[in-house]
Amino acid sequence: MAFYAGSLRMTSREPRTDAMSPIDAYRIPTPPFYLSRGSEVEVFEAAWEARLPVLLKGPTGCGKTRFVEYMAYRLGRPLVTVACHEDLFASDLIGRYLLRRDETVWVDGPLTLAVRHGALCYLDEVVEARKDTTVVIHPLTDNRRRMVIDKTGELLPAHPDFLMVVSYNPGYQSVLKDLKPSTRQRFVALEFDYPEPEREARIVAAEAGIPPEAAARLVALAAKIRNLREQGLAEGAGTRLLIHAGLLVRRGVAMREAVRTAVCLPLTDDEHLRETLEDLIADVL
Amino acid sequence: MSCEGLSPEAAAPAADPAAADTAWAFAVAPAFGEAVAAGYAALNGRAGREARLCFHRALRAAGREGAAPGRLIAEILPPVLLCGEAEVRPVFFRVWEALAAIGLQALQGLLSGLPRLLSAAAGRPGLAALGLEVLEAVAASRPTHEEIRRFTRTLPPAFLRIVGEGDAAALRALRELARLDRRLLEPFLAGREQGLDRLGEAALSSFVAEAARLLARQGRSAAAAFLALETEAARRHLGAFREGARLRELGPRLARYLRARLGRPLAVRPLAEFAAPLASGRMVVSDGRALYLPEEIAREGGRRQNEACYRLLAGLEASFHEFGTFAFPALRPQGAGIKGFLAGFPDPAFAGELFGLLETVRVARCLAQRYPGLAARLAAALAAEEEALPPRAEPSLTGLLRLLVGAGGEESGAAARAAGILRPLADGLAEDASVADTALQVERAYEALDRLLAGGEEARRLCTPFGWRPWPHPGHETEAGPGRRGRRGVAGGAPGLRRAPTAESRPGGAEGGAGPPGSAEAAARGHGVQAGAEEDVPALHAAAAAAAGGKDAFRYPEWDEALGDYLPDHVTVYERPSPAGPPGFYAAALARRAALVRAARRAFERLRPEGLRRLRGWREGEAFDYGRLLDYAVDRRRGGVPEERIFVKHLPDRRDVAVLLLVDASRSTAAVVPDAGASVLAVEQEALVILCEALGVLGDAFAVAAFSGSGRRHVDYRVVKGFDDPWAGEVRDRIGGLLPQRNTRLGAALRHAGRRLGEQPARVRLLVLLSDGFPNDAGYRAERAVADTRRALTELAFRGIRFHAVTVNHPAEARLDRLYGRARHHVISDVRALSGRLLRTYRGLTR
Repeated sequence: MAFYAGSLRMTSREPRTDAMSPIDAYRIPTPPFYLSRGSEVEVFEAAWEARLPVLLKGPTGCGKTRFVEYMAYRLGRPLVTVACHEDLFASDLIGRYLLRRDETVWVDGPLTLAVRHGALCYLDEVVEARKDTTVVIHPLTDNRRRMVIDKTGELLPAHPDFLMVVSYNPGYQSVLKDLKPSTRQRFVALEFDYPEPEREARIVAAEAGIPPEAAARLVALAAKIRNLREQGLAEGAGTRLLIHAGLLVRRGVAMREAVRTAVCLPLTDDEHLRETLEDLIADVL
Repeated sequence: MSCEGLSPEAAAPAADPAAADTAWAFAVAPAFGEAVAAGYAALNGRAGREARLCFHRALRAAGREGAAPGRLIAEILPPVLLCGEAEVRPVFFRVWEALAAIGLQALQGLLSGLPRLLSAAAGRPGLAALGLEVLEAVAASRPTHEEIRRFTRTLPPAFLRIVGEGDAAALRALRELARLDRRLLEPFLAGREQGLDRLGEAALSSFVAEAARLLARQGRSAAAAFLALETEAARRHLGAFREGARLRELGPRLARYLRARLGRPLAVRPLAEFAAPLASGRMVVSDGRALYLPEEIAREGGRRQNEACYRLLAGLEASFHEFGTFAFPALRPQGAGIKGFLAGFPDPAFAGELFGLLETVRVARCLAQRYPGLAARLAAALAAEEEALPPRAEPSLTGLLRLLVGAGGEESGAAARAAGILRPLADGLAEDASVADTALQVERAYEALDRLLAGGEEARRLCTPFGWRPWPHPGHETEAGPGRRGRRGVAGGAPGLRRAPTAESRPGGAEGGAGPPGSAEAAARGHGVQAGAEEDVPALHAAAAAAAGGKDAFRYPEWDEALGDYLPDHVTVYERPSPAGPPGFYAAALARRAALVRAARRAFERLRPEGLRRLRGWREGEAFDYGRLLDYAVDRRRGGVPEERIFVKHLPDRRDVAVLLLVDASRSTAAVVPDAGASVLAVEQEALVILCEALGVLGDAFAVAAFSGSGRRHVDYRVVKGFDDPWAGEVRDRIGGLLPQRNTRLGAALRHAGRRLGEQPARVRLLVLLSDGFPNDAGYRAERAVADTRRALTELAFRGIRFHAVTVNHPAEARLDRLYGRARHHVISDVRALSGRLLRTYRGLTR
């Protein structure tokens, strides 16, 4: 490395002189709409005070991400979200050197950014990430609260306000993938499910901007579709799908067409299941 | 023979011939005489002189041939003469002549059942003559004696059934087919059993025309298979014509729908399986376990409408479950459910009808609230029901139902008064009302309605569309029939309904409620369709375990090269665990082939991935590739355009392979391999031991199965090791337990192995077959077996499954290349050659 030190300057961090910190971009400016379903807000706040990492379990589209956004806003902390996938390495979380003109510049990865600046770091669908990510997650979620950046040789203690939040969906991931007990047992777990019909209707009406009756109709349909979970449907219709349907309705798409487009087709390609969904639509709408 | 055209005067005996004919017949043979006497007795007083003369002449002519034909005509001619259809008589004599020319056996076999046929055809003009014309065509084609014997068994009962059903179209089709080729009659009758009987006249005629085209183009066997509905094309043809919807086809969809509606499984079964007798016209009923529907609905309006009718029925009946109709509260003092409640009224039957009305109204209101689409279809069905009834001035329960669920209807006079009584009560049945509330309203409405509807039984009876109603439930019919009046059990009249906590509507609470449990017998018959049991099956393999009658039985299609079509559900494969062999077989084989096993393990170890693969030349990555970074720096300093692919990535190098080893364990594998001095199966077993050991080292998912079978209805698929079984203990001993038995129906075994392999989520899926030659089974030989095997291999390829065959103890020959494809097989005779060959193959195929 010393060989080309004259032309390529290696830096451990890119110096920042501007007043705007990179983490500011991750602040949530307006309060997200969230209806509490129990004591999860209080439990999360208590976990935050004790700096206990939080694990959110629940099906797709039931409001996990929205809850974290809401809590980040409520606690006044930035939120760094990483959607995990099977090619996500630890280095993708930590950061890497990049070239900038004649320099190699270290750029913090999303996790390092959160650790350094005291943000909430939300690893969505964490079981999807490669196993080597546990090397980074473990020291940050026990009493060490630090991360080692091997490429720069930096030992980075977590900012006092840093908190890790992870989510996973036991429904369809449990067969092939699961969190190791050594990882699980570092977290406080909060379980999520689809909201009760009345609350879900309020959420859909508020988010999509449609009348409560139309929202209630969508929710009633979703409740029936959810009965088909494990009967061919990997996942039931999440609240997110209902909001999508509602947004289409609000823009003038007929209710049945909106449901077909935003709920049925994204849920399944199976012709037989689609027939059943059509039967339910014909009954409920 | 004929009695036509003869001048009665010229040939007529002076006196009535009866006495003379009878005496003459008795002289020939007593049995003949008795038949003649009976024949004249039958004609006596019912037939004119001309008919009696005809009988006389036919008797004499037949009697001259012998007592047996004489007796036969004495028995069958009188019904012909008395049937009242002029065209029957000439056809009969033509048939008689033609069959007599073949022999007495033909006459007796095909004509002795004629009186029963004529009796069945009475009142259905033209059918008897049509039936005889079929026989005429058969006789004219000069059938062999063997065919006559067969027709004697099959045709008369079939004709009787067809005539009984009044199906002239079927008889015309039979006549047409008999004229084309008499050997098509039996396939047609078989096809009729399978569903041709549901075709209308035009559709059937078109179907037969298609069979005629096939006969001309592809020959008799293709036409016969088409008529018997054995081919995929025939079933498609039938499906295109049929207008009725069938439960067998719609069952899985309805079961899924019920699952979604109720959140629990409710099986769908044919109405015929419901244990208790049903009222006429009732098309849907349910108990705690199943919902019963007709096997077929063929109402007006085409197939889509009929399917919609099924969905409506299932949707309506599910509503009783969802809205808690069957969760009727316990009563005091009677203690029983609804039956006890109704018993407290003077006319329990009328109270039951009233309960049916108000409960239907309650459920309809729940539907309007939660299922407006279904509620609208219910309203339309109710309107149609009312229209179908004769117009009446006085009010009726049926009319009231229509009024109260908003389906329109007249409202004047007494009807208005009745509606005025019921409407506030019905309005009390809001969405949160339960069946207990319905019962309370029945109490309130009973006396007034009883007076108002005193006019007639019709008005007091509730007619609902399709017989859909909550009460009377056929499993719990009230003992009090219509009009039977009992006494109220409790002084002061109130039947004593308590709105106990149990009175809450319990969605899905039919168990233990008024709905009777499904009979164990019906359940055991197992024709029902459970939700979610039929998913995820490729189109041609759709009829799987459930259809074959058990969870371990699977049906598969088979390719018939001669027909150029699949025979659907043709082969049944039974899957079961292979029995364990003598303990120690595996260890002994390992010891015997220790050197080979070691070599195979070593060779397979080399296939094992080493961990992460380092990939260079990425625009972004985890780390710099410093050599390239240097080049980049130099290029930049020189002022050139540097190559920016200077990063490396690490990707795990992982094998993602599933392999299934399929072993031919048919009888032929008992033959000895000369070079090895052991049987083919023994060679296969040793090869398995070596291969499994090596696979264990490699860590690839693998399974082992053996197959044999006898005939298409019994292909044995024995699982030695499933993909999830650990490779240890008893599973290993199963290799030693393989025994040579029965035949080789390879296509079905390949299809089933492909199904099991297809369930594996691996990127590379490989099927390795160890066999000893060509497939061979009953009706599955030579070209047909080869063609089906090739088809099965094509199906595997379509599913992304790789295939390789290893043939033991068979000379290499071009036919094997044709069977498997040149690059997809090799032949070995020495087990020692196996590991090397298999390793090379395995490496190539699982890369």
